[in-house]
Amino acid sequence: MTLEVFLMIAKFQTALSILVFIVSLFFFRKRSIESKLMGLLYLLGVISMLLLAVINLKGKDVNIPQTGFHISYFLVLSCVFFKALRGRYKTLLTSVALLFFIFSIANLLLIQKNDINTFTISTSAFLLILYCILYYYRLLIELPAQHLHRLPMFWFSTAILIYNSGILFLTLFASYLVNVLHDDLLIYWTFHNILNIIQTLLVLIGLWQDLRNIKSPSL
Amino acid sequence: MAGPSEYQVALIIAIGTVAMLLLAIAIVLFMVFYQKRMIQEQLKRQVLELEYQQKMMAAALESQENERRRVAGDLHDSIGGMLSAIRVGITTMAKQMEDPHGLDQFKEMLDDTIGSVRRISRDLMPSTLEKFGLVHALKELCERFQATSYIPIAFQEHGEFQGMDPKKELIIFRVAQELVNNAVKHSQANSITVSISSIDHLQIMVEDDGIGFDLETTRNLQQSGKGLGLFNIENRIRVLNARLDFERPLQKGSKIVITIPS
Repeated sequence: MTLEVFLMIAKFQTALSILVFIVSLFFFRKRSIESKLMGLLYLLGVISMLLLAVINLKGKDVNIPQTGFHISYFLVLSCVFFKALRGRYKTLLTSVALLFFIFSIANLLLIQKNDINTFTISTSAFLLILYCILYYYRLLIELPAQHLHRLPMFWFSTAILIYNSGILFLTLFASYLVNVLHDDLLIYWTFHNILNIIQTLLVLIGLWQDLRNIKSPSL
Repeated sequence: MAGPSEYQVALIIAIGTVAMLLLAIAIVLFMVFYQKRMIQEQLKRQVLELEYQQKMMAAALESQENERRRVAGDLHDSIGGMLSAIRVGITTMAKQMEDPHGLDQFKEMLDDTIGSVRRISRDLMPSTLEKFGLVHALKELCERFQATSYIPIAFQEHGEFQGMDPKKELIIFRVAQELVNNAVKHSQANSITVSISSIDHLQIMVEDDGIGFDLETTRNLQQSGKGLGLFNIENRIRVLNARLDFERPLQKGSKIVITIPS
């Protein structure tokens, strides 16, 4: 794995994230809350990437902004699922979000101070996988649309499920990889970025479906 | 002991990640296929429910028609017969009286009553429909409404109607009866046209040049329980599997077209 390939993938991922944010701005008022939140999520992603680059250049530790982004990623997606589940499981989702927030802060300050916050990331990935399955379960019970592919949230959920399944595996073996690769985590981050690209492409499909629904609202 | 090379690590990560991705994709695919199956089953259930509702509606209409037939028969044979006997009695009495003209008023009233009983009996169960079929029954319906309402009601026939199931004919007749009745009662029309066309498929059209009507207002009246006419028409149309179109002609009035699949 060369640094050039890694940088190319990273740049492509950043460009896609910017594209998602821009696409989410089309017909912004008419868009569903879920789509608006996905736009916000990618805006946060782009800001955090820029912030990390600046902090990196200054030679400072990037752990705090990175974990900050992970926490906001989980919280925003919790809001997306809360909205998609039409306010059901309100207490459960709020409690989980609160507990996750406390756990992440505690992990950052007390446990994995200077390492990649794998506990936070894997917990967030596991919880988001559960949310996706819960959303699919509700879809099967309620049958809100005859054609699932016309539901933007179906694509968002698929994106989140696929990304987090891969990320869960990566983070669970992160400490092993750190040992084996002697802190050279280029492969780890490349895989992470590839998964992120897949997630972003699926989110883009969801946003496009949302646009289609705005223009011809028959599901 | 040498540790795994970068290539091996990459391979492990790749296999593991791909396995997780495949698992996630499997979940999504399962979800999509299962949802499709559920949707198909829901559609099947809806079709069955609709068929059941149609059968229930058809049964209700049939029992309604049977009851009408019974009441019409009783009116015609029993009350009509008795009234006719009374009339014969009065005529006989009149012959024996010195001043038979004193009974003329009663005879006229009796004649009117006998006429009314016959009309009600015919409205309840049109014998023309059973004997001569739909076209003649509709023609007679127009003539009768014209005679009582003094509104010119034209009847037109396009194509040659071959006849159909008598039960269906009766339903079509009832719908036409209700539509003409509505036009006479509410449209303030100067003329009404009823036409039957059987060129491609059977079409019944009732058109008037009156004030027209707003379908939504009529539906709202129906929901508040005030107007049951439209409700009855739509129910009968559903039993026939037919289509009911409310059209508004360019000038004024209303045009209602019933299309019955052959």
